[in-house]
Amino acid sequence: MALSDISWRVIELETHDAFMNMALDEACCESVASGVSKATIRFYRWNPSAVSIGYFQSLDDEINIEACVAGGVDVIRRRTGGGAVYHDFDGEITYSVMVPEKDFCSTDGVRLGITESYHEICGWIINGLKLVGIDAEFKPINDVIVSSSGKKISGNAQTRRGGVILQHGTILLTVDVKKMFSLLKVGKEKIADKMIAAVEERVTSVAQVRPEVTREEVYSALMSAFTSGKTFEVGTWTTEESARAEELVQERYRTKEWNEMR
Amino acid sequence: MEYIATKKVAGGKLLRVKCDVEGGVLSNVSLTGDFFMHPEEGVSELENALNGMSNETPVREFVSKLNDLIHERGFELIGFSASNIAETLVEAIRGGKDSWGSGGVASGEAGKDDTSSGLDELVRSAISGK
Repeated sequence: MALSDISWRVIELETHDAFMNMALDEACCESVASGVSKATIRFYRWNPSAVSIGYFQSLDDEINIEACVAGGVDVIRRRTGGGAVYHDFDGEITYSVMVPEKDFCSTDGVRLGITESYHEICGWIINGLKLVGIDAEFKPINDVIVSSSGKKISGNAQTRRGGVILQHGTILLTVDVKKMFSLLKVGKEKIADKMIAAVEERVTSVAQVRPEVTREEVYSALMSAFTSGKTFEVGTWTTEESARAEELVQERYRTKEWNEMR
Repeated sequence: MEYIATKKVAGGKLLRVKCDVEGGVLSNVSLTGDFFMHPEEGVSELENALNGMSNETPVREFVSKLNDLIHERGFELIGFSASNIAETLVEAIRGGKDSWGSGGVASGEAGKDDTSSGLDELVRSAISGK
């Protein structure tokens, strides 16, 4: 089976809190792994806004918990590696792709390795950005950068479990570095300005490159690029997936044991 | 006493190694950062492999111990390597207590690379003035 033979389910843009968003990814991976659900592409937003940290990061080292609590910002550990991300409700569109490893193959049937699969899925993001007039390119290991400036516009992370690839990532619509920094542990006041400048030099957003483009336009461009050339149907979560996700919210994603694990 | 060092791997990710040393023996080794490893749970096995080793162990022995385990268990490390872990660990032990691990950041590879992959590394490189 090659990539082009996969039959996909697409879940249209929906909004959940951080715990449900990450639980749905995991519940979906399980149902794809057991063959109950098709390979799935989903788009989502985070309400309330949240900070996610990578699987290997230390919550205590990275996050200013008091500021998050005060700002009503949820904090969650992802199942994927990578860095801390601030998921602003208005500032980004997030996607997840869940697909069996055995099906995610090149045309000659060779399974895509980790780098190749990042490259493949980031290619869909790049095609979507192109549709709204932004030239972007893949930057290994896991970034998409705007070609003209070299600044990051999308960050992505992947895990593989039970024979299923999960890649999720975020496309930045706007960036508020100050806000982001207020939620992270960045140390002393006096270096904050310097750090904000350093990050602003390396991160951008759709609003900065193409201020006239709306969220709806970005979403529709991404939807069209992610589904282009694919067999797909727009679907919903199964009852089992929704129930399993509720369970994972309670058993894992809302627990201290998980979020404060490292 | 906790020993800490942080390294931004050139072309890779940020790695922070923490450990305690009691009677010359490593304990509570922790590997954190914005790297990737498959499967993720394997990181505990890497940490456990280092616990109980002497703080006088040469870097190459840490490396071979880690590489043997990585090979045996089929772990995939992305954005860092056994050598990075070993070097950063040794830096932590030799460098002593340092809450920001600036000793580690000051190592040869820090800040040289412009891979903008994590906020983490940007913060760290700004702090170290690179």
